[in-house]
Amino acid sequence: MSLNRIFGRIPFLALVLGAIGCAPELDDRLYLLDEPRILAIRAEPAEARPGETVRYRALLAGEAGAIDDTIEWAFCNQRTPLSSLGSVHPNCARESDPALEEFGSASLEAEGALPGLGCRIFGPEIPAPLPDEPPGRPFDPDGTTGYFQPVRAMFFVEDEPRFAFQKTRIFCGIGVGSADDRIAFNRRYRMNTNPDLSSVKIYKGEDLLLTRVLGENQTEIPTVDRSAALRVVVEWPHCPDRIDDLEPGGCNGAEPFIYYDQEDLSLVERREAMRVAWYSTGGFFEFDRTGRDHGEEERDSENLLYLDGIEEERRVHIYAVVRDERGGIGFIDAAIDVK
Amino acid sequence: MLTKKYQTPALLLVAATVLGAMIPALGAAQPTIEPPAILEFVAAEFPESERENSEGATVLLQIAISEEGEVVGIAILESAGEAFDRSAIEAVKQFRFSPAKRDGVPIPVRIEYAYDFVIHEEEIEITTATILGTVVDRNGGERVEGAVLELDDGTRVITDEEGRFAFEEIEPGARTITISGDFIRPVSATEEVVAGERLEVVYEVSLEEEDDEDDDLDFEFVVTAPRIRRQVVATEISATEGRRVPGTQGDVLKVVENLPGVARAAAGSSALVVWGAAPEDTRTYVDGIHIPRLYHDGGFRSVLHSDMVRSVELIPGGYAPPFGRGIGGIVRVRQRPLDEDGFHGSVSLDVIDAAASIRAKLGKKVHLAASFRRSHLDSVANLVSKDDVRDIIPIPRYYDGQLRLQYTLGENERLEIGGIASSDRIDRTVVNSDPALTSRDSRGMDFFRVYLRYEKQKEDLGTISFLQYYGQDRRSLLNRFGGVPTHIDNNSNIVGLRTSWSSKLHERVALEVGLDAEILSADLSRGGAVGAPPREGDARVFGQAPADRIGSDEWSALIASAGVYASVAINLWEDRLRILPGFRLEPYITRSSRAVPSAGDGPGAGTQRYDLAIEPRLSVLLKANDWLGFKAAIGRYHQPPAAEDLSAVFGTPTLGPARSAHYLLGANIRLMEKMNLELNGFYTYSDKLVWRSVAEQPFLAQALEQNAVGRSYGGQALLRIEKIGPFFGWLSYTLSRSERKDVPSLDWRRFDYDQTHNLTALGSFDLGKGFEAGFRVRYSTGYPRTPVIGSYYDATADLYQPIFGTRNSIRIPAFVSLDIRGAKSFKIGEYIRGEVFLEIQNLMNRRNPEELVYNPTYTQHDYISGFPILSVFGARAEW
Repeated sequence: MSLNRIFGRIPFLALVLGAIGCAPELDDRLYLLDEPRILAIRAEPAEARPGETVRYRALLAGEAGAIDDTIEWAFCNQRTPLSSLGSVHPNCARESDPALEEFGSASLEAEGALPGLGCRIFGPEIPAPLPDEPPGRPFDPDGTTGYFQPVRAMFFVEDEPRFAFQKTRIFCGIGVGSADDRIAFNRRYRMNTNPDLSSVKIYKGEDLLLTRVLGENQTEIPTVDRSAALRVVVEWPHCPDRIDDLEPGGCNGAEPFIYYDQEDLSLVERREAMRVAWYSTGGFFEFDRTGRDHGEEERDSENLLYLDGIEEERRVHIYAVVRDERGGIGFIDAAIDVK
Repeated sequence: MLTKKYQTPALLLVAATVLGAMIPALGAAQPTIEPPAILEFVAAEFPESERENSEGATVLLQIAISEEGEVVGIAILESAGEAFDRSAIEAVKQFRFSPAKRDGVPIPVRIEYAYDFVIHEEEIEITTATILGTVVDRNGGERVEGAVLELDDGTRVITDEEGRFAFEEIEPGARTITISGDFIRPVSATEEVVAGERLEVVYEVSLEEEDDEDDDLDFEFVVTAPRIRRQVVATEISATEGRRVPGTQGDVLKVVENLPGVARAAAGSSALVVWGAAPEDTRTYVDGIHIPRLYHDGGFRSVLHSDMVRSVELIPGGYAPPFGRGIGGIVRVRQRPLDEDGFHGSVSLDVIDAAASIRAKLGKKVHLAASFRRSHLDSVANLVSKDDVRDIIPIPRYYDGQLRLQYTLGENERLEIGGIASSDRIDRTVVNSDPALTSRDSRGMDFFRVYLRYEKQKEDLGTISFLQYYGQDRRSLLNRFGGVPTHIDNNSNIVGLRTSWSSKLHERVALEVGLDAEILSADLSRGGAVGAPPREGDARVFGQAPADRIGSDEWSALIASAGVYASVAINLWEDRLRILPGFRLEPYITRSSRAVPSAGDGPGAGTQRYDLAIEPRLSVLLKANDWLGFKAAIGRYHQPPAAEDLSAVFGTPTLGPARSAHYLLGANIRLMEKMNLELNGFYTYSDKLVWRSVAEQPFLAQALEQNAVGRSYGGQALLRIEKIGPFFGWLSYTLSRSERKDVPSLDWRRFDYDQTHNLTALGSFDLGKGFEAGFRVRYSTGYPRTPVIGSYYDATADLYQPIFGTRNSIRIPAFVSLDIRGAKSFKIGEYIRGEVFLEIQNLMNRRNPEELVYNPTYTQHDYISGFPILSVFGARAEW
């Protein structure tokens, strides 16, 4: 909710408390696909060790739906400085740079072996110090004690390069905690598995218009009028509550995992939080993003899609991308006709 | 002593031409002629009307002298003007001559006589002295008109409307002056005056209430020595004046924002940026006690109740040796003297907060003062809004209080214990449909100080003072933005000791020596991203989520220093030239409990370093004449690292003090009796500044580096009208540039707080019958920002990240605002004085950009604007 909206409701407050400021109206509709954008990049497997081969698949979509375009793939091998709030080193957001190690330039999918120095550049390992020089600083882990190898995906829109980055979770152990903690972590930790959205359901009121199941083609495209408000629900599989109960192949839902809590200085087990990003080629979603927190056991998330902004009959493509807390990604799509 | 005098000298030019009776004798046989000679000379008065414009004149006269030698006739042969002619005739009439003689027989004659009026300079011995002075009301600094000052020889003078008086040509030695008046009980002071010299004094008196009938109580007053102005560039505003400045809502200390050298802070910010220095580089003192902040969060209010304030002084740089540990400026708050009889107090209320204060005299020697203030802005917001606005908008909640107890030990000797406390809280949570994006912002800042102060003013007008204080600062920060939590807790204990002794070593030399020590012991914990919160120099945009790499640390730090200083004031050239050399020697100890990040459960090894700061300082003040003065200062300054920067994970435990050198040059021009123009130029250069490492693989425990340098330079002007009729005000303008080099080999870049132009014009009119009206106009350049020239998508975090252009190469547009203030004061009954006021800020309803913001994909940008039009009304009653 923007401050403008607040002040619109309470003009007196704007008068009295206006010193706090007014936010401008900017286009913040992340869900609206009005130009080609990479919505997600899925790595398979979701977590690997340096040197292992990983297959990447990008979801690229625009105002007409999914796009099949050429993507240039490269590993980014330059560490981000502490002074940068960015996800990757700025040198990697270029068409070419010594920091980039290209591994594919063909389609939406590519396969490459993770650089062998991933745990040294982006992980807890530090190179041996030179004489009279202090040791280097290890890379800080994220909140799940994870380390990531950045992967650049570049495509062009009207000859202008567009950059997206996938950060592949690499297993390097943990660089924090006591020796006992590290041993316990390595023993109990289970590599991440990508989540899947097992289905997407579209309701109009109480009426179920569509059920799309992952892995099956959408055979029927429902038609709705422009005044409709649709309830879109996505689901992901159930996962056991405890790590020890996980199947060997992992689970495509909100998995339990173990991480090192740097505040409590202890290993903690918890369920992955799940985030869902929503996209459409028309109408507007009530929320850009929804999700479930660690403590929520529900396996679904929903959003409202309003179609009253659509002025002509057309097909509207809907995408939902789910992300688990450890960097795993899954997505699903559906289409409806608006009259 | 050589003094210019106007006199008619005994210079005679006698053209001993014998006329009349002498001429007929020329054709006879050679008689013996004896000319007349002056027996008695009378000097002519130099005409009063000609003193200013004439450098002298000559009158040529013809004088007729009888046989008896008397002057019997005078004629003007060559006039020098009526005044000179008349004066010459009057003098010559009184001349007596020996008669002229021919062959020994007296005869009448006529002679020509030239009388010269000349100005002579002669050396005369001055055996008297002069005392010039001003009588001011201690409570508020108003000048006292009508005060009667009586010298011990019975000479009486009365102060004029400016509170000024003068005793001229008085006998030197110890002279006692008694001050009395309608509202002043008779008190006296003894001054040592020297022949040929002029002593300037300021007497501070406390005025009685008109209806005070308690005549038995002692009435204390303080004689202050002529102020040895040690700060070359300083602007001091009295509480009375500060209250009336528009935009302050009656808060005296908020007037600092309007002084030259201070950059305009962004709306909702409490930062004080002085001469381009970082906010943390400027220190705030309350009668020598260092406090961590001047304003509450949001900048709505200062942390001290205005009733407890006598004046506030901003010293933007080049300050004197008693102060240190800061490479920026200094804000000095002087507390209100506790010397009033009876019971006084005030209550006030406005939309922001409510406050109360009391001042009371308990017995003959004890004074008590207390104040308390609490904000209710959050409650007002809830009352007038349907939503829980606090969850969206950072509305500060604060309180502050002061308690003072003063015991008068003797004349000009007092002991005081007291305390200052302040607390701030901000809590807000912005719920998002994605729990990971639910934002939480919780901040707190509490501090208190308790102190013991002893002060004695010596007979030679020197002082002895001792101040010891203890306090705690507690800062807490808990943020969760973009799914990355950040927390910082800093609990610090501070012990300060400040003692000084000053005395007059010689008629022209005064000395002050002292000790200024401070020990800070802090326990800290921090977790989250290294870059959160961001610090100066980080490339970022407003609202950008912190990096998702996190760390955690717990550490303790000790930062201690003891500054020993000496300062000499040398007055030369009839006090027109004042040279103030000084020196401060300050050893620092900096200790951190962890030299490297903790590894598991193992004990951490600490680190400690010693530094010695040698800080020479020099100020020179030259008063060229009554209306023009010059000043210059140079000084060296050090600032210890912040305890929060000594973390092995988030900072560098081995940081040492930063250094700075200040160079100032200025002039004071008195344009009119109450109109002064002050012009100052400044240059500061700092090195060993701390900044975030840009190394891709920094060394362990070196997240911060200490090799940045900075410089600020510019000029400022202050045209100040003290009070002309019903008006007072000032016009201040600062032109400055503040730059940094994060690495010496890089080019200079604009500092985050650089503000090129800053103009403030304000004034207040006393409209009579209790009505007041004021205005304030402000213009300031926007702060620099780093442009975003592109973006990339982090598909794992589902987040767009900016690609930056040249650091700080663009600016937020300029700020322009017109504020007005109206007030009406009135009496409620016999004892209570009330006031209501209304302030309207940004009267033009201009959309002032305050911050640059982007949409989530960084394809659009716009500005967060400050308040549209803001009305604040309030009421106050005092007795």
